[in-house]
Amino acid sequence: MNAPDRYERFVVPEGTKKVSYERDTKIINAATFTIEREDHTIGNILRMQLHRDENVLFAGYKLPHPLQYKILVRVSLFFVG
Amino acid sequence: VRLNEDDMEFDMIGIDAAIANSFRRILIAELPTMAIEKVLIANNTSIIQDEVLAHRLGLVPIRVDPRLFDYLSENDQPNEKNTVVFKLHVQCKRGSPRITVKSDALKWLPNGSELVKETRNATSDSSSKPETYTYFGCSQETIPEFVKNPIIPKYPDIIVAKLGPGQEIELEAHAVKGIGKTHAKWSPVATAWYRMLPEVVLLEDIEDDLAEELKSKCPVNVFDIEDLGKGRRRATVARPRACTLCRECIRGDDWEKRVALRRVKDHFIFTIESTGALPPEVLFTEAVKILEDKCERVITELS
Repeated sequence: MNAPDRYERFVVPEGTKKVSYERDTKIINAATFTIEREDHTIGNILRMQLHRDENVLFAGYKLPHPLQYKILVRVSLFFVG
Repeated sequence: VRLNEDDMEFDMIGIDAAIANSFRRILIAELPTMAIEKVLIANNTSIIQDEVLAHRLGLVPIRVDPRLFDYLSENDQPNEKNTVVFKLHVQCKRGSPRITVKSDALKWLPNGSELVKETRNATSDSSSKPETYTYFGCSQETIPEFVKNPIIPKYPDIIVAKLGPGQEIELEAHAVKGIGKTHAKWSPVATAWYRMLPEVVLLEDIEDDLAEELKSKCPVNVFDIEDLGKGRRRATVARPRACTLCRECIRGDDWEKRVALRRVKDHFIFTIESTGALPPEVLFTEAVKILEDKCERVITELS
């Protein structure tokens, strides 16, 4: 009854950006990317590729809620260069 | 490794588990197919309810290449580029035995809908064509791919409904393009799965009686005996691919020290079973293209 329409899983509505980026205030060299309307299909691959980069200290993704169709990717580097 | 008309098994070596899973997810949920979406029911006196009948019709796989069609969104008009129209008209006469309505009763209408829309305005032009539910500019039969292969359901023997004497079903079904994420009827594969290649390693040399015992334990005959000469025999791993990891070979005392069962981390054995709209190798190439498109999209949005 409260479930959103199924096409919301992949159609980005007008006005929202597909990818947005926020630097982390408390930790240096860290940022969170929010990718709208994506799921584990892209998230897991992104995370795996980030792990292969040697400058990356921390890389992870999560879906904050299964009914909100977006992923948060958190990346933090050893140093920005 | 194996390729039939409808299913396929092949190996992918050297990729990561995340990519294998992404392919599996895309094969199940993001490849477009055609499936019946709108059912216009003119007459249904059978015991199957309208919505149940419409649901069953939606799940019938249709043998048509979805790449020839476009998506139909809400404000578009259904025309020959985005809709496939089927008709079902079955009647069971009084006095005849019960009829089972199978999916081959769905007839393709290449000229579009035949049901006439009721228009409110009283000016009836008898000279102009009556307005139907679809607006086909030209007949779909003229498209070259459909001349040789008419659009039919893939399996003609799917039971859709059952009729008793005196009951009738008359309906028109419109099939549109969609992806599995919206509804599972648009999934082009019956299923798609992968497993990692099992690795059976003999930690010590296993000889003679122990070798015979090992070979007889395995239910799928993974091990073989080779002769070393001088009457001694040794066990070797002949068919690790067939291993089901049942752990039968390490049951009992001491076997755990001699046999190690693992999986090879980057060797994936994919199996794809298609419902029939597209052959499985085409499905996989389309899945690769879709993954490419998704990644491109994220990259372009980022910069």
